[in-house]
Amino acid sequence: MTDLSLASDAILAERSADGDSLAFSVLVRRHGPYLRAFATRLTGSSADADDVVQEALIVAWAQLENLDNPSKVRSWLTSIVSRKATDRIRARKPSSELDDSRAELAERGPEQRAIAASQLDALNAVLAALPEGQRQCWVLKEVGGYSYEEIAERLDTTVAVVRGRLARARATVVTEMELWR
Amino acid sequence: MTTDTTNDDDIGGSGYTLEQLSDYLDSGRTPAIEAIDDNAECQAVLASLERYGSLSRELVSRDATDNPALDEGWLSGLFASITREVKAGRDIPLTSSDPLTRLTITEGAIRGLIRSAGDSVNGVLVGRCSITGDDDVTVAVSISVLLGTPVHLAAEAVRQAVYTALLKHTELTVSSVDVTVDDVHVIANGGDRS
Amino acid sequence: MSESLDSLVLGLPGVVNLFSTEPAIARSARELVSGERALVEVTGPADAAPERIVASVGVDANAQAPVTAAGVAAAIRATLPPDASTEIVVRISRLTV
Repeated sequence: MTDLSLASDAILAERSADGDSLAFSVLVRRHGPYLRAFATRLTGSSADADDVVQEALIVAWAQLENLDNPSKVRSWLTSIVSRKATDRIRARKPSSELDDSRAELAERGPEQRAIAASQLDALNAVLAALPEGQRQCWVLKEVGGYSYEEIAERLDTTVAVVRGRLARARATVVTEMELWR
Repeated sequence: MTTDTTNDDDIGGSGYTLEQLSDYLDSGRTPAIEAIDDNAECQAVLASLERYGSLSRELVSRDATDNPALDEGWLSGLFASITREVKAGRDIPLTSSDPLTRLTITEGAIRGLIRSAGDSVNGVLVGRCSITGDDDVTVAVSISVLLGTPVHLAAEAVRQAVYTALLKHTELTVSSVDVTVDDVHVIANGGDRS
Repeated sequence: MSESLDSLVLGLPGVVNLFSTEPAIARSARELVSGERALVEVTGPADAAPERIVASVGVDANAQAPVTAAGVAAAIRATLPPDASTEIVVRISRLTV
């Protein structure tokens, strides 16, 4: 039999939909690292990300036959991960959102930003120092590609709040990245 | 709620704030707003925002490349939770001479059988398979073939292998096995990642 | 009784796996309550012949699946009194090549 790791996402998704758990394991190994990276950026916690991605993959296994376009497996998996991640975020103790920063990271932010060797590292430091709500909106918008409405629904808030958080995040990013240059 | 108290809410004298530029960006810059489109500083800010967006996507990809290994314990936990019954499908009856005994084979088992049969053909990987009908069934199989494999020969070999397997293990009357070639794969150094 | 049926079935020629007949959640709940961890499902009174016995098996594709299934049913039937009216269901859930 041909090595399954050579198979396209579409073939793997179709086999998985039909019950081939080996094909599913190949999909997991192929996309797992990306899904974990995305979930970590979104939730701010790699421990949460591990749980979220596992929950999402268990759901995905059961729902693969509902995937209309098998070649779009990664973005489909990402959307399930987003949902599980935001479920977890909503279940956390509510914190007073506003512009309260995570003081520790906010203090270290400028320092890390200053010594960043590359623009990517600088952006990394800036994003890590953003307040939770702003970072979540940023990741869902810029990396996930969701609309304001979708983000508001997932975070159980309003479009106005999402718009505000995104604007503040963008103001911070633009200012901080200019300082880095 | 804190408010922005900076003096330069207005970007480049355009009359628009960053929040409004943010909206404009997300609306795909339509309908076009001349005051923004003609303003150099606004354009610079919008370009920066787009760049930081794409850099963010790059950051996540970089995170993934930097952490390519999945914890084996995490993987075992995941696979232990993947349950078989969601894929079992209906029970297809098998004859039993004892009226008190019922023998069946699941649709999921038959799909696995069809997959193995197709996979056994050189250069072929089965994708989707479906069985429609009750006693008299039509089987549809989609396959991926190794680049360079003669497609008609591969499809015919798959058809034969599937017929044989179903004959051996089921009591279904197979009226047809339709094989479609949907995909191509290659043996490359890095493997096909399409 | 079920646990010995598990080992009986697993020991039969052509049988590669024994699967649970019920969804994972139902099974966990039942095991919690009864403490019983058997895969072959036995329904019916403890003191008399069961009403029904169900086995979900994975079999080797070397032998014909219908033959293996009949063999499993016969082996289970042989553990019951000859006049028992127990229904036996054998379900082939996987074929291993």
